[in-house]
Amino acid sequence: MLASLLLLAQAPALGPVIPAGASTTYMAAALAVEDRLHAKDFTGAEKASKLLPKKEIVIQWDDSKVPQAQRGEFAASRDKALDRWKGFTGATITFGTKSPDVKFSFEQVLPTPPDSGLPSGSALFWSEAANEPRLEVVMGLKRGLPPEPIALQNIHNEVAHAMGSYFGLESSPSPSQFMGKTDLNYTEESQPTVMEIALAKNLTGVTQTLRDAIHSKTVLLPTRPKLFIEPKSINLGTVLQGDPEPFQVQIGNNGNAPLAVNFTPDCGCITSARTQVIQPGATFVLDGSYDTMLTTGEIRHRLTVTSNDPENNVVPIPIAVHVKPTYRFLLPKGDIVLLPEEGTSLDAYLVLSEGSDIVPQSFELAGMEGKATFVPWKGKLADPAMNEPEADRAGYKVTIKLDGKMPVPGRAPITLWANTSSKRFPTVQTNFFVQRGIVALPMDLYMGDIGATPRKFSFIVSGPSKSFKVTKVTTDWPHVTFETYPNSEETEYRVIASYDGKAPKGPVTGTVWVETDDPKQPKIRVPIKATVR
Amino acid sequence: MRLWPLAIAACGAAMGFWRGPSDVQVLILSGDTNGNLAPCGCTKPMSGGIKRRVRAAKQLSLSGHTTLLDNGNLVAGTGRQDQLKAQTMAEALGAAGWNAINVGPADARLGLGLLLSLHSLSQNKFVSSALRSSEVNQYVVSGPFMVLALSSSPQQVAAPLGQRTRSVAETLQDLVGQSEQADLAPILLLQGSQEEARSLATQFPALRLVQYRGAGIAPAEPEFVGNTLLVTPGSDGKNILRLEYADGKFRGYSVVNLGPQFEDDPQAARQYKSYLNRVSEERLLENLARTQTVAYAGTQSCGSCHSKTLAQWSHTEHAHALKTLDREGHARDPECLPCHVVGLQSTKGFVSRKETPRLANVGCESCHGSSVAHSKNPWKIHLPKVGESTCQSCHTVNTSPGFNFQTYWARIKH
Repeated sequence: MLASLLLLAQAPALGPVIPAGASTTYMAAALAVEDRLHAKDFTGAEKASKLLPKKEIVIQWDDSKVPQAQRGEFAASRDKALDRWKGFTGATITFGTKSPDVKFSFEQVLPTPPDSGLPSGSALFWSEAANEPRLEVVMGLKRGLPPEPIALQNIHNEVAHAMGSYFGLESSPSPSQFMGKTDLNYTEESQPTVMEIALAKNLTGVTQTLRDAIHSKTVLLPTRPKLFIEPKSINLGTVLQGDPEPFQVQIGNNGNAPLAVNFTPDCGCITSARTQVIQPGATFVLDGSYDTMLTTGEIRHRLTVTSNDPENNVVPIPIAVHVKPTYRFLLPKGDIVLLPEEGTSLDAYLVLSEGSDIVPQSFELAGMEGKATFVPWKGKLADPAMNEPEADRAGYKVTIKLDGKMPVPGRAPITLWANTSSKRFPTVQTNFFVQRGIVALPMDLYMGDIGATPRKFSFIVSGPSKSFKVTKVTTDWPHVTFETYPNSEETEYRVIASYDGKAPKGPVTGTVWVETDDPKQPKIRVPIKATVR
Repeated sequence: MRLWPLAIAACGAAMGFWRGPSDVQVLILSGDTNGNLAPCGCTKPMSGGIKRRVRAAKQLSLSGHTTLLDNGNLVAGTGRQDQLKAQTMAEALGAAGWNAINVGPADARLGLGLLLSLHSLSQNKFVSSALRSSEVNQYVVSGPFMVLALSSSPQQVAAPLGQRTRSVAETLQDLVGQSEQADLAPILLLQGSQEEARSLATQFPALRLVQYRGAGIAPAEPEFVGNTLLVTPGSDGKNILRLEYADGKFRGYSVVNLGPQFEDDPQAARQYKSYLNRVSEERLLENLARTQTVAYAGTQSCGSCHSKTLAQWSHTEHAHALKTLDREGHARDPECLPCHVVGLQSTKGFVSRKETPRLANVGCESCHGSSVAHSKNPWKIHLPKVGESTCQSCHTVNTSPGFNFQTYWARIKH
């Protein structure tokens, strides 16, 4: 027992734990120092530590290829980014050409990488040679496709990203944050996130600990946390819309040092722990969930695991789920109801999936006077919108009686609304339309932006309850002429509007009058909307 | 030794070029916008929107060598606002040079009259390969591609349009055969699932690419079934895909998230503004269907007792929720307002700032429900405590993608 205690006392201390979010470049440099400290090669450790970020940094800013007039504003954008990093890390930054740690320079346009459609906005080159800067950054003076002059915000953002990389932070795909990296001509200044600031401070501490160990010739055991994830992807299968669907991910640490892990879901619909530290040999079970309430159908999302495993620091876990809707409203005769003057009735079906807790308490109609009554129902119905053929279904049959009061002929939307006993679905609703007489579809002749080129547009005049004739189509806007084509039953006419391309510039306000032989609707008004540019 | 001087040297002495040989065709894919014409704007950074999409497509195109395709389902519903959205989207895609737009089942549900309008506005870019009529294109040829467009259930498209249709197999047999004779690479825009795309790729191996219906995010990597590439940009218009086609092969697959790094395209922005004007002019807000409910007391009434909470509320984003809509130009948008005021869908709810100022912004009753009974009998009738699910009725995946209950609750805790 005593012997083991003595052995324990003599065992070297573990090196500082590198936080999750550190770059592989930083981790490799830190581990190289630890390896040498472990081997008691303090001279080698001192040499290896040259690859770690310094506290007193010399930057070489070579703007010789930047037009003279722009150099001042480029430098101002650069300094804004540098000042932020100085604040986060406590580093001092001077400019010079003698033994620079970081060098920035410019070229006209950088090459396009093989798997990208865009020229690189910048290129970062790391060097381990003593006579070269640790990091060299080349920025394109033009970027995007086709290349446009670099926006000043990109100078700020590229400097912010490059210096973050120098300090050991991993890049992020989100260009709005400091470690974001994009090749596009981004015109907003990136902002540091709280995580980035904390990480920079943390890494500064790790670097200092290693330097102190070299200075005091302390033997350290290299920290090599090793990430193990199971499963590598999550498929939640088919679940019913409603409650959060739980999932678990086992994260293990097969290494010798604490594993720091960050979990970043790509959507607010996924809940999970945000950070975790897992001791060597231990495992952590992440209890996450996907909220099925929000969207139905096939869903794909991603949970990204970032860790301080030097060999596996960013691992995306794809999440797949098929969310089956808890309820569906079905209107077997379509969602357009013809409304005679004496009123009409129609049936709607509130179809519930197995496991649904929806029990309707009352149905209401909005948009038109009427009544809705309901009874439990079982039967066969198709669900065309969900691409489902006729099948056995259960739920409630809602009989809707509309009293026929409609101030003018046309088409009006109606909302059918159920108050239910379900906590997750206190109300459920659907919309349908009632139509009386002859209507223009769409209700206006919208031509959008038009110019000097003749173009054709069309609309339909529809009166599905009985045949009618279009006798004439006229307009008060002189730049359009019309042709009409009836369907075989003469219940629908296609009206082709030919614009002559000669209208003066400005907004168009005009009206089309479709004249019919229906005594109740001798004229259908169709507004013209367009802008001539 | 550092590698970069070699890399740069390899690209020639002149640095002012970018790769663009004439035999490279860029393919840009969008689809399943489902009516998300603009990022909601209430939380940032949001993704998506037609203004960014057009800008991104222009930036990522190779002039004269780009094919732009959309898999349809421009909107999700059939109401008047959906019609206006679909028209705006069709106009924007047509003006921005999209070569083909699939007629999705949701587009077909808008009816034949609207589809014809969309087809005209898009400069005749709609495609539906299985329709037996010639209302829209049967296919489109662009660069080396023959673009076909289908729904896995063609009847879903044909029925609402009152049209007849061929089967998927018959259509593909015919058109894929034609593409081979014309030495064109057939691409299929499919309103169908990933599984259905796999099945068609197995059945018709000559298909070079199938874009299937989007769901959530776009996969980080494309999938191959034989030599057929299966891709989707995901749903709701948040991403587009960019690929290159050269020497008979696809390469450079990239998912482009339409984040704020893309400025608004001026032309698409003008078209979008015109859409908002139409929403306002047609008084869609005033014509919103409302249900009969109990009355609301108004946020200030709550403050007469809960003065500390009211003071705290006044410093939250909820208290200024309408300003967000003003800023984004959506103050009269009936799709946005329900989450920015109290009781918009009720006959007793918010009407306008002038008429119902006490119900403007996200107030107490937005989450806790009507407090009239409680205000009359505060000791006996209590309002329910609400939780995460109440927040999520507005903070949805699309409107508030970064929503996290713990952090958001901390901002309004009371």
